[in-house]
Amino acid sequence: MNEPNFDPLEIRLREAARQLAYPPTPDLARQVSQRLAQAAQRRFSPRLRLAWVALALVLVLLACLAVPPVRAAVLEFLQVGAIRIRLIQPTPTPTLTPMPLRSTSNLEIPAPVTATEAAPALTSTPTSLPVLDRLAGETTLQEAERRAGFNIRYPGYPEDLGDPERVFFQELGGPAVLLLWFEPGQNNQVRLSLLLLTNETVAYKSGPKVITVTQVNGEQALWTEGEHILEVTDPHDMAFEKFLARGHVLIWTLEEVTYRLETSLDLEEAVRMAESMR
Amino acid sequence: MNNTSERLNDEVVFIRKARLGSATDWEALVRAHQQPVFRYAYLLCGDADEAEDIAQEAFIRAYHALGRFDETRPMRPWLLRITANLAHNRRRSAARYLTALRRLAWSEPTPGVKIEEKTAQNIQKRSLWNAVQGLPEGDRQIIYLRFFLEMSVEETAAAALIAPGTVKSRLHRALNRLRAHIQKDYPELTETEPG
Repeated sequence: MNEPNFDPLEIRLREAARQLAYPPTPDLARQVSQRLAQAAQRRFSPRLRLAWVALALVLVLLACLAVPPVRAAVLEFLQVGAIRIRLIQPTPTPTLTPMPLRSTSNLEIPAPVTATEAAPALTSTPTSLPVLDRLAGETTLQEAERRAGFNIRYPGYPEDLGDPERVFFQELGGPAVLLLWFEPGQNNQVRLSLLLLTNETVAYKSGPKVITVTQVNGEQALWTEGEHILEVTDPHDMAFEKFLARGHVLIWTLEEVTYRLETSLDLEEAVRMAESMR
Repeated sequence: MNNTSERLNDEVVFIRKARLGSATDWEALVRAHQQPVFRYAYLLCGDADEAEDIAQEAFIRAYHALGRFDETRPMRPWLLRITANLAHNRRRSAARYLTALRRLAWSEPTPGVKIEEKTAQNIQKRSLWNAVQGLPEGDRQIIYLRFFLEMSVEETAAAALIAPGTVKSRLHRALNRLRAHIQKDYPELTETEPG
């Protein structure tokens, strides 16, 4: 960088930068090649092929539904608001292959723990959440609302739910707000997580085992069950992020905001919560 | 300029083959860019292990997004942009980040300089580094790209997804803030500033 017009501070910065002792650069070329090769192997595994067959069956069922928008969208994906659920394998393909969390996800949406019994009460078993320490952008509800530029609404049901206990704001192509509720007195057990996105963001969901078309307040909504990858991009597909999600998920829109509720409850209870937004 | 054009042409050949599934060609591209990508990740997160994770992930994502990459443009700024996005969202708490940054070390100054001068030089450079750390994230990023990775204004613009003119104005503002920061908190640097 021969820059004849550098001023003294710039010259000094450049000299200081050249003196910085970086750690040795790891052999990323080899590591990346290995990861891609492993992903390609998994891509063709019999188990995954079976999963695609199962997904195809779900597709057939969906196609039978006499819901025109669904039938129109069924070619490639189902969409509610900012979230699209991929129904065909994209190319190049290995992104759909679940891989170890640390190497594939820069953020993990903390999943609500699985309910021990099928009841409206959000009962759960203990789980640790070290992932929360890695989540960027923790803030207050008021600040998140100010930065997001839309009203943040959340369920009023169950009555004991109260306000979200932790709030995160991030720029994921557009504003994204994550609200978390914990089991009473236990900060390592997520009771409920609610992700809010606008249409400035496009989120692709890949790999849920069950996809059900349902309704919230008379509008189309989607319910998914099973572990899946949530991939968030900006309109240019540049600022992508990946999340590994494990809970059941209800997706619906309200006032041009897409809500993604992750819970251990069943579909009926989740819809009841979604229809109780305050 | 000829060297740059030739390098870009070579890169395009590698990119086209990698798009067709050639692992060898993608590996060659990673090898060509791994050092600046890793170093940028390290500057942004301050931790070698974290930087390795980020850099590795950046190359994986770049591979999957290769079909959308505009091959008429140089690849490095694009890779650095992906790296910055990943680092931004993976940053740990501010306290851990600053702790990690404090571990950054400096290499020995130029041989032949007296010991006391070496020490003084090192202290100054460390102070300058600390002053840079006191800047807002946007200022730091532009300074890292321009001075630490020694990218041109055009490359910096491509990496930060802004116009070259904006790079100049942002850099100007960042350096002014750095000067003010130095005058206030690192007066020893002002006293020895050349020119």
